Amino acid sequence: MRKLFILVCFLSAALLATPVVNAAGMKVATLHPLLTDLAQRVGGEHVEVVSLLRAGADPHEFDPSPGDLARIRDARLILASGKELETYLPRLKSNLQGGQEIFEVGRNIPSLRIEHGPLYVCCPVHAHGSLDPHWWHSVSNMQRAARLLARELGRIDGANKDAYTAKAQAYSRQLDGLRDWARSELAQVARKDRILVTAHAAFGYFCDEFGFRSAPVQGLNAESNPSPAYLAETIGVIRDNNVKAIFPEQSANPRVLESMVRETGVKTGKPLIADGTGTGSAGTFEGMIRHNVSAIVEALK
Amino acid sequence: MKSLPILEAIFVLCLFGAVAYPLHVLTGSAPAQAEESGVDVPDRALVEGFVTLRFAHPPQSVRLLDNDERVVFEAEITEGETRWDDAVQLVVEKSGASDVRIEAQWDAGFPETAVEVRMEPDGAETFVKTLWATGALDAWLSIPIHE
Repeated sequence: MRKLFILVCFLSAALLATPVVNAAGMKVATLHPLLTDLAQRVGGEHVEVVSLLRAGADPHEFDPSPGDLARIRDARLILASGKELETYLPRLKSNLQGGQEIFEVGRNIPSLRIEHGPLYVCCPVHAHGSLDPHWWHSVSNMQRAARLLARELGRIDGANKDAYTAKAQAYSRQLDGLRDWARSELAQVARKDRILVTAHAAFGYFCDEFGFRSAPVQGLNAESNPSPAYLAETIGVIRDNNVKAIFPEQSANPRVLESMVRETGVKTGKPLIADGTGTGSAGTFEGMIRHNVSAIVEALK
Repeated sequence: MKSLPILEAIFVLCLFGAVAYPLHVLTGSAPAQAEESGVDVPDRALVEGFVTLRFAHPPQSVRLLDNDERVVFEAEITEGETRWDDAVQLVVEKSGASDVRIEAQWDAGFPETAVEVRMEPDGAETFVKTLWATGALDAWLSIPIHE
């Protein structure tokens, strides 16, 4: 009897430590603030969302601490952006509890590759030729992400599958309106002026969706600062195309852009949110798009 | 184990419940993929994705079929509805594309009208095509998946 008692106690302890979907909602951890926004919109009252990356932080540099890992120990699902943004994912996977899963939301969204030579970088990991991880700068991509997340949540929590699908559809329709608004606003910028000169290579998906050319000029740290040759090339692009403004970013060092402004005489636009980690009203996906579009139109129209 | 004192028996039953309930929750709400699709296509791959259909005028009926006449999607028609979004499974042919047939019908008297078909196969570019029809539509689409 004693052996049976010990065995049952052991099995019970093991299973009670396994994350489950309970009446209070499935716990979902996110590794990016825009995924927090997405999980809340698609999951609604059926999920409890825990965000590891705070607003304003740099996702290229983030690495979860032991405290972060403890906070997500009972999360059933962990949402990652994917496209090799979270370089720590293999380590995180090795620390998962039984029943926990990581879902890379960006995995099934078509990728752009980082181009334009060795200086077109956002961080040392994402050099020329690698996947551009900033898929969230496209409204269509975020609609697709909502559908993918609804499918994944429904797979795990079948009882609420229809609710997740309905919420993703409602959000997608809301984003149709956002894209229409963005197109209408950006139409104020003359076609010849649709060149986005930014600090780092984060706006490829935005440019692809809204018909802009992208010209990033620096990395995020001293090691990835552009060479004099690339700076000269970018200054040439600015002059040849009569670029009206260049855009700093909230998380990037402004020194290179400042020197470029001095060199070319173009004006500086409002800082753009490149990594989806805006604060306040720009802390959601819709807020980020509205902020960036408004800043671009204000400077380039 | 000569006899089971009643308190120990109750304790064991409680612990059994604590084991069984999470197991039921974990396994009971995740139907297998094969059961859901009901498809048997051993020599061709299946890819998951999403379809969005937008109609300029509400149809009487609309459905999508694949090469095997399998229904990929069939709309539940409600009056005035002009848009549907749904998860689908597409068969990828050896060509790397998925061939899908769209059938739709409208009430008599509708003018020429447009249908936008948007397909998002997992990992592949979004496919968007606008089709025009009067009264009825029966057309094949070839959706690139593996290029």
